[in-house]
Amino acid sequence: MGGCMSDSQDTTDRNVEREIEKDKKQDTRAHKLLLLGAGGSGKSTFFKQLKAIHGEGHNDREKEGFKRQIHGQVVESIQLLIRQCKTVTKDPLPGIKDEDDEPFGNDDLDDARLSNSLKVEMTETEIAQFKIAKEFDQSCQYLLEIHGSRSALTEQLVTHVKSLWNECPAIQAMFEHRNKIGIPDSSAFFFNDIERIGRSDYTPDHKDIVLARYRTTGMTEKEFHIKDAVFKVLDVGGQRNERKKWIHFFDGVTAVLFVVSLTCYDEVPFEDVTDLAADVTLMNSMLESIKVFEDTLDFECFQKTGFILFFNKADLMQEKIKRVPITNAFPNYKGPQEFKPSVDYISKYFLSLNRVPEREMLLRFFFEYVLFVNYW
Amino acid sequence: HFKHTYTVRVKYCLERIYICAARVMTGQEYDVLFQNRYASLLNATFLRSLPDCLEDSLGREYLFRFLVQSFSGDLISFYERFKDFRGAVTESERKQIGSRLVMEFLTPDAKRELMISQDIKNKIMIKWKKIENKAKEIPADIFDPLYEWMITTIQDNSWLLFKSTLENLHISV
Repeated sequence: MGGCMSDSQDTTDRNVEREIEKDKKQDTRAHKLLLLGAGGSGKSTFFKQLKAIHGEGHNDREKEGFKRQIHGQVVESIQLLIRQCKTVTKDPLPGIKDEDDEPFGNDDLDDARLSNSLKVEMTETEIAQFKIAKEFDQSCQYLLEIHGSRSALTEQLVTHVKSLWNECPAIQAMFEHRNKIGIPDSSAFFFNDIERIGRSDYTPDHKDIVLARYRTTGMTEKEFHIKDAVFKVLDVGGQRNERKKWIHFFDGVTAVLFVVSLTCYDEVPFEDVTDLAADVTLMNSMLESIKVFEDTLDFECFQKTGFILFFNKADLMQEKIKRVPITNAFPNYKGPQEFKPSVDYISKYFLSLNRVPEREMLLRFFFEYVLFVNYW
Repeated sequence: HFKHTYTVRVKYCLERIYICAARVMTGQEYDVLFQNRYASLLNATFLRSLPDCLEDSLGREYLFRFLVQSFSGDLISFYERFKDFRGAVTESERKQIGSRLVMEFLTPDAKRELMISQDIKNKIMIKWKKIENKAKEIPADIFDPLYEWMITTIQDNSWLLFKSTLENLHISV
């Protein structure tokens, strides 16, 4: 009996050991790919795409999660637009009588960052375009009173958002400055489609999921099996405080996938967003991306690691370049204000930051969330 | 070292082993020995929602372990400090904890500075400065927007993954 138990024990032990060995082999066979980049560059969007194309896709529960995020993005964006309009025009927030919301006297503030959020240097005419008409007071009040941005979109909420977005010129005018106040481009898509996404039976489709924007914190890891290869992809947060955590993931990296948003050359980084007074030539997310890229290249452990530079949002850049030149971030650029030469310049600039010639550097471009080796 | 690195999976498996060992060694059912914990672990009712999970001591334990595992431990530090602030009885206690909270989580470039918008941060900082300068009474809800932000961040980043991890462990054990 004892012998029998011992035999069965041995078999179990051997099976467990075999399993552990198998896992170990699989683990060493997996290529560890680290997704890095500044905040808002699109790392998590890329991760979502990978999951949709090479993973098992998004299940119903995840779609429910994305629905909450999309609803949250709508509420957060519209609240921010209203608040910024009210800050610029110095109008009181409707229905809010909290004395603590009153601005301070100068003597109370010695912190430049705080005082900066209260001053906007503009002409009277410029300020007037952001004045929200009285008829929208009820909508503003309703929307600003929502606490916790992850509220479901009720019929009433949809009506108020729709009214402000479609009929209030001040909100549209403020949205034009979204690059300075940290509102994602994709919020316009959701505002325009507010009736669809506000329906009780709404389920986000692939485009909605890809466009949903939230800030990543910590690290998410996922394994992808593509043909015979196993890739372990690590997605991390890109904001400044999140970057302090990156060092924990640097061990055994096969390649770094560094994501850069091509449109961020006039966007204020999330951490610096205050109001319309922001000067995008002094600090913008492209300068931040360059700095992060340089710092990453300098890490001792990455001296022999291959880099793949992903230039994201190329489709949006095609539109933006018509209005905004890249000289905000690249003052030495003397070429035409056109897409191809501008992207050429940006990609060459990034490549020039690599001081280790033997390190492999690849370039890839994303158009409407589709990957291209070249952009022409 | 182990204290900081073990995963939710390890925690769950050890707990289940402990249940079996306790049963063998004491001859009693584990639920008799630790009734609430046992019921909570088996039913995992705390997985119903994030607020339920934060209310439940075992749920909190597991969620916090998951957050540490996914490098979001700063959220736990904030939550614990926030709970201390909310639980403070006297004004001086509230002021002391509040000052630490501002210093640790809101001050620019602080080690654990929260990834919160300037809009919310400024609003709280202005209120806090006003309180400090004018020695005003500290509103108990002054840091609530940070708590709401924490809930949203966990919901967006970790909640579904945490839920799936625990549910999968339940099925596989």
